[in-house]
Amino acid sequence: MSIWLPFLAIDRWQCQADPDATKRATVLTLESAHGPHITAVNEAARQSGAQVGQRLVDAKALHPDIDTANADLDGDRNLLERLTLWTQRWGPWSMVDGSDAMLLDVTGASHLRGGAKALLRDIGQSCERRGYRARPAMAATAGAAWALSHYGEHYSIADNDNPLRSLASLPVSALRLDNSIITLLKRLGLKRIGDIGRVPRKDLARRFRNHRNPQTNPLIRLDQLLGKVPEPMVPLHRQDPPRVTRRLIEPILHRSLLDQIIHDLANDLATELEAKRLGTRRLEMRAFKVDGDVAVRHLEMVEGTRDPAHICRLFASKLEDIDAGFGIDQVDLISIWSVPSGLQQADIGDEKQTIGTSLPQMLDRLCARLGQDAVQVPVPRGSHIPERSFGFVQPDDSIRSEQGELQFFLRPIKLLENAERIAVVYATPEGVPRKFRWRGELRTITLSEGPERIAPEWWKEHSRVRLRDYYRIEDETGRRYWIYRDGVTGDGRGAAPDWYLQGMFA
Amino acid sequence: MVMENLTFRASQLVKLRWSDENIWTPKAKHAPTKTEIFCSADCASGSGFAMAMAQQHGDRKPWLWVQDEQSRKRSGIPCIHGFPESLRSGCHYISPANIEDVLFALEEGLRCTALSFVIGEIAGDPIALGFTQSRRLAVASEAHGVPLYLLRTNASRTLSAARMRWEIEPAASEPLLANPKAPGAPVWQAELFRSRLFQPSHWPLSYDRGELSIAAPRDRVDLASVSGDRPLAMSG
Repeated sequence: MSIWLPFLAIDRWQCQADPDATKRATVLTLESAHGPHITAVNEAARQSGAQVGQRLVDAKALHPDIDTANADLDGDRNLLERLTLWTQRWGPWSMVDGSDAMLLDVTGASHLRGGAKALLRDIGQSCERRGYRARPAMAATAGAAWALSHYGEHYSIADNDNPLRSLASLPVSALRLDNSIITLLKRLGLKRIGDIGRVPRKDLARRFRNHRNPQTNPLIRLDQLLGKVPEPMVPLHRQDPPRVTRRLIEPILHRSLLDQIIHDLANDLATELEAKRLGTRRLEMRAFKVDGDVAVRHLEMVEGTRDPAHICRLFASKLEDIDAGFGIDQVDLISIWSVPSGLQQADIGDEKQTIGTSLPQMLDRLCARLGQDAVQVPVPRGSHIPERSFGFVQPDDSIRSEQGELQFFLRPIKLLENAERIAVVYATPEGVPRKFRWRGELRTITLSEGPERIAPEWWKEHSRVRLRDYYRIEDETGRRYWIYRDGVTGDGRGAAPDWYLQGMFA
Repeated sequence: MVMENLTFRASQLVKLRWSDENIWTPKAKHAPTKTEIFCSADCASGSGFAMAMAQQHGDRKPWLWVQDEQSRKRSGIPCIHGFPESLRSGCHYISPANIEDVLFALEEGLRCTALSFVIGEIAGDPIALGFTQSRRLAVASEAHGVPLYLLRTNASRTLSAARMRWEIEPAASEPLLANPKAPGAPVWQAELFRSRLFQPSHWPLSYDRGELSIAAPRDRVDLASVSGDRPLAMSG
């Protein structure tokens, strides 16, 4: 069975918009290279001359006071998926078909609703009650059902013994072909499906011998329509996240009981995840209170896991601020994000005692207490400017690129977060100074090396940013620093350059 | 490597040392333990020494650097381009806002046997880092075999359970042959002032091309002049 929702987008808009707005002429538009064009029109707009596919300016020329709204293709797609799942009340499986139709398998199920005709009427009326106009049609194959729902009569049912009897009079566009092929067939004088059957088959086969794709080969489409060749389909399947729940006879008020429940739930969840060969990356705990309130706590893991002890330990710090109110009477644990994780051999006996934790477990524990982005991994970045030559990322996305990294001359082991300005004493403004004052202490420079000139990144920075001349220096007590002069005298980017201390060598 | 005994009595401590020598040398091997390094916050000698010591555990396994907020602001953040080559890849960096979280992160890091070592950096003498906490860290380090190098910047030598306590001061670097005016390989005046493994002593250490060694005296002629009638080994 195919269910076509010809006015899905505008019906969805009408369900959401306020009743006054729906009475006015309104079109849904989508931006294109030549300005907005119309993707859907409501009844009032259709009467005033607007058409789907027209540009908005053309429609406005005919009827200036047309209202417009933005088309929401993603929202329409989501709605269609939800509707497709909903139609599984009439048949065991269904799938989304294109952008505005659904396919539903009702083999052997129509008698439950009082016959095929009654079933079609039931589906049509149910959609209508929800505010979506629908054209359902039933046939032995998906292709035939699609053709009938789009081009046949309302609630039409194909004749299973001789499908061509009900389909022969439909236009060739009912074969789900590309527009260019439909045009070609029309030029050949083949306007209806029945016409194709009357042409000798080998002539058509020769004409379309290079077209392997069903969408461009009318013979394959015709065979699919008649059920002579199979047409693979992918049913829509709802996957509920692994979820375990505990309903309590007596509402609990104390933390120790909640800990016990979390422990039980974690064990249940581990069993469930193990059966599905999954590990959890993100967990949600929902504690339903007697007064209808729900306390929700999230937990994120660096690696897929199903270790109950680990989960309990991570939750321990998250449960502290839960206000039980009059009591909690149900607790759910849902694995929102699960990743595949194979079975592992459990330890038999206690001959192998594991001491310590693994790296993901440690990262989870740190992140659970200190925040999701607490632990960071420094990685090189593509920049010569010292403070931008490396950055910090989350541990799990620190996959190194195979490309070579920038190679630098000696770099300090520590870099100050913000370079600190120093007062210097120098003989000439070019070259290294003799003395400098930093953090209230005057130091004499005994050894120095430089300059290492680092030019600003003109493609990123402001045009007034100056170049830097870096010097590696050592003072009289042996402390080694990295200082730079911000600019050179006479570079036309400000007054006499300042000196900064940016890094410390070992 | 996992030690059989999870706690140590003072008499057993000497077992942490893996050789019979009583004098520390850069090549001396000992069981993973907690080492405290005292240094100034205004130079990176302590960090450099910690990395030089930690490099022997390296072999490209992950490691952890925990820094408290004060030392991050005063001494700066670690810059991976300045690290020894073998330590660049596995660094995990964390800088919590308060000292309790720093100690928590250090302890969790020491419990994780996947880490090759942990470097901690704590400025001053926070009350939370008392003797109990210090001992917790030492025991965690020895129980799980993860060495801890705790940098104590601008700190006083208070009570601590660390098995080795160093005071690191920068010294004039080794001369660079290619450019006599440039600073060469770093040299530190390292004082092992309290240790249960080795005899406390004092060395000039140099760290050149990934190798920690006892620095040769600067100038042989100069050394001969100051030695006077003392034996040569006493000088420096």
